Amino acid sequence: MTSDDNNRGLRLPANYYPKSSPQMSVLFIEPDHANAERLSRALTNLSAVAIVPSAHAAINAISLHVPSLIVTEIDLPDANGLELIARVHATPAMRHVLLMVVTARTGVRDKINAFQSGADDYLVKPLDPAVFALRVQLLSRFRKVISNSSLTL
Amino acid sequence: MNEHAEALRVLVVDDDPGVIAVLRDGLRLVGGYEVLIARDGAHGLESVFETAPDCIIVDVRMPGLNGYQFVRALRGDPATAQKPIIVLSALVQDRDELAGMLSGADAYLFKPIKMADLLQALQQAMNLTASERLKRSHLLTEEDRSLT
Repeated sequence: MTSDDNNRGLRLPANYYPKSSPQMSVLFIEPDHANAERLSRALTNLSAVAIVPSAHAAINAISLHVPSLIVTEIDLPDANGLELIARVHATPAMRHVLLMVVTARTGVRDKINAFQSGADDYLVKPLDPAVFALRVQLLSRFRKVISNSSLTL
Repeated sequence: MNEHAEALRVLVVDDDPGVIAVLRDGLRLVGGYEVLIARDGAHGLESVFETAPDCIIVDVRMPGLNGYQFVRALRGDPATAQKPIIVLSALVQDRDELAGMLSGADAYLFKPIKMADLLQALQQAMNLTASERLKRSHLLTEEDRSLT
């Protein structure tokens, strides 16, 4: 755990990226901690994981370390997860960050809003952890293909 | 169409009126499908939930929600994850084909499309089991399968 003094008063979540040299760092923004933990266990052991319960905590976490993947619920206690996604998406230095929505919301409008906010994927709860891991893998491959291609989306 | 042989319903999601006209006629007259049309990804998504088509044909480039996003939106919800989906594109690029497959579609075809190829792809997509679809749409390797 890094001290607050070294990070301008920002507080790291208790379980912040415990792996030493990960291939992928994943930030879950999920009020249901147990659910995020369940999903994170399905990721390969090369992934480092942090779980925060709110948008405010997420912004703190991102300011300390920009993850390679952000997984967020839409309904957060202090904000709408899609607003956070739009903010990350609009930040040039974070354009490489994969953005995934994992939510209980099933509405068509929610899905459209999510992609238009910059989400790369949208998964509906309850979510099979194995399927979640596959989508993460697929998304990583897709990003590699797109970044090597002239195709703009 | 008589009441004993109800036509399968295919939803075509494309913003090009010319393509829509050709697909509508071909799918109806040659394939015997009932054809539903949506002119962009957002309306396509709404139509999937409202009309529950048997299979879907979607173009890559569309205003609003593009074809890849459309496919992911369907694959991410258990209610629609098993819909047979064919992606169409005018772009002849290997990488683009790969990108289409990586979005989770069952098959990918380039324009101009031969109707026979499209009908065959639809038939194959509709015959996929859930595990075959997962394997195909996620390009699973032996190594990947250990995850599931």
